Amino acid sequence: MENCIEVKGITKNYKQFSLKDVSFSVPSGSVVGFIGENGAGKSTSIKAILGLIKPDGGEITVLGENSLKLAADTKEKIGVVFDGLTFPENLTAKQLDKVMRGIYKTWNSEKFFGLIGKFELPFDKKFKTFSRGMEMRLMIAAALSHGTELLILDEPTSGLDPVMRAEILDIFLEFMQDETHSILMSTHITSDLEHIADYICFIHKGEMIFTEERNEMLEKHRILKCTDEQLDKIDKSDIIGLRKGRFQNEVLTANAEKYPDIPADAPTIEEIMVFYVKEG
Amino acid sequence: MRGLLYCNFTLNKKWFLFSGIVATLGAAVGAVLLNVIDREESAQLIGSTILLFELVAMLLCPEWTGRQLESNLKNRFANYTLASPVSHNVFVLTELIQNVICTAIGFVMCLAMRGVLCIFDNSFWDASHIKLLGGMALFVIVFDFALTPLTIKLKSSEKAGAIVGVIAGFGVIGPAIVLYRTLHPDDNTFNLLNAILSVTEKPWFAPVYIGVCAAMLAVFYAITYHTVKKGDVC
Repeated sequence: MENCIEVKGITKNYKQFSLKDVSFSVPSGSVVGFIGENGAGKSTSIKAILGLIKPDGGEITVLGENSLKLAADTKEKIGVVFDGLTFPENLTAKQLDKVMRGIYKTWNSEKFFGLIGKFELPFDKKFKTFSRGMEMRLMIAAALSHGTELLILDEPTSGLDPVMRAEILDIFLEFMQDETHSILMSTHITSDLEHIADYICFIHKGEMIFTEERNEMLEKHRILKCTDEQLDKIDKSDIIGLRKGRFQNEVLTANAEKYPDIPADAPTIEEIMVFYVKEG
Repeated sequence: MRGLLYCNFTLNKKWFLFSGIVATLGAAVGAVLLNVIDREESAQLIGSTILLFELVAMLLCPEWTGRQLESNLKNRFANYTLASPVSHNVFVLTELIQNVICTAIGFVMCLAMRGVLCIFDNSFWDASHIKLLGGMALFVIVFDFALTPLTIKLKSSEKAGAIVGVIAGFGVIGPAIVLYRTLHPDDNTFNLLNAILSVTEKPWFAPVYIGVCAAMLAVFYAITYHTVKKGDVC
């Protein structure tokens, strides 16, 4: 399987934050969930992928081209949704269509207005009157209206209620019906990825913790529920994260089979993330 | 580029309206002055007042280009644009073209103002004044375009305007005083309008001025392009 995005060892240094040797890839036809807490480096990585910042080191390839030298035709195939409204708030959907027609050669007005209608958005109201959910649906409608093959989403569901989030995830699933389409979706709401993501990339404090196939990752990790005595018997190198309780301790491990006597639960993506961050 | 121009011109019509109001006001004030006070004695006052209105009317038209850029940086539309098929070059060129179009609209407003004043005194429509307006328009284009890289850097068009305004103020008035004193060593008084007119009347002035403006536009284009290409604009 080819990769539509390949990030190889990128570094970027700011005064108070650094991306350190981040590497991961997005295989074509897959959904990759890019998780990490706020400020972990997700948005910076996405900006680097889009060529909006120049990494200090490393290399990024998007649809076979260097991210800093993406051809206009390649950019036509990339749909972008940033966190929140990134269009001027005094525009209306009708005006935005005219703007986009002048930006994208492959802009499809019919599809755009179809999606605007489907998402129940007004055609003539200024965006400043839109709710957060409407803004995100508008952004997604725009991202899907120009021959998009690769969707890059930066926190598309943050600040949305569960019903709206489910609706938006359905839109992404529909987009993925075409097997040539791919999605890279950054989020700190990991539950959104439980059903949609094929791969999970976990970044923490600017460092890539892991990149794994979702089911493998969920299969591999276990939360051991143990007493203090049992905890003492667990090899320290097997402990990824530890949550100490008054009566019971919880240990995230990738080697649960070594401790058959200790009851183990399957973790959620969120629990895995929290345990890694806690220990890290 | 078409999309960006459409977007920005759709959003900011009110500044053209403000410019129109100032030009109308300038014509009205000029008309009153021409009819009320003695023209021979107060030619300087009338000329300076009209020139001030023209400068404000012309500056108001491209005023929003900086504000719109600031807004596009803050709402990350600039990032969205640069992630789309719009190249760095087109992004910068669009800013320049916006300035040129807006200043041209301001220039037309000033011409209209002078046209109205011709009803009262046809000396207002002479070649030297039209040339002066043209020079002023070129100055406004350079001034506003010089704000672009600073606006990107500071994320504030007002701060950029203040900095460039101070630099341009000293950069224009200072050399104007020096040139005027050099050309008129016997004259100890200084009047900006006289100084400008006396310098602009020289045959070498127009090509030198246009050359300097073109060179400055090229320099600021290169600076802006470099700033955008470096990334991290939002």
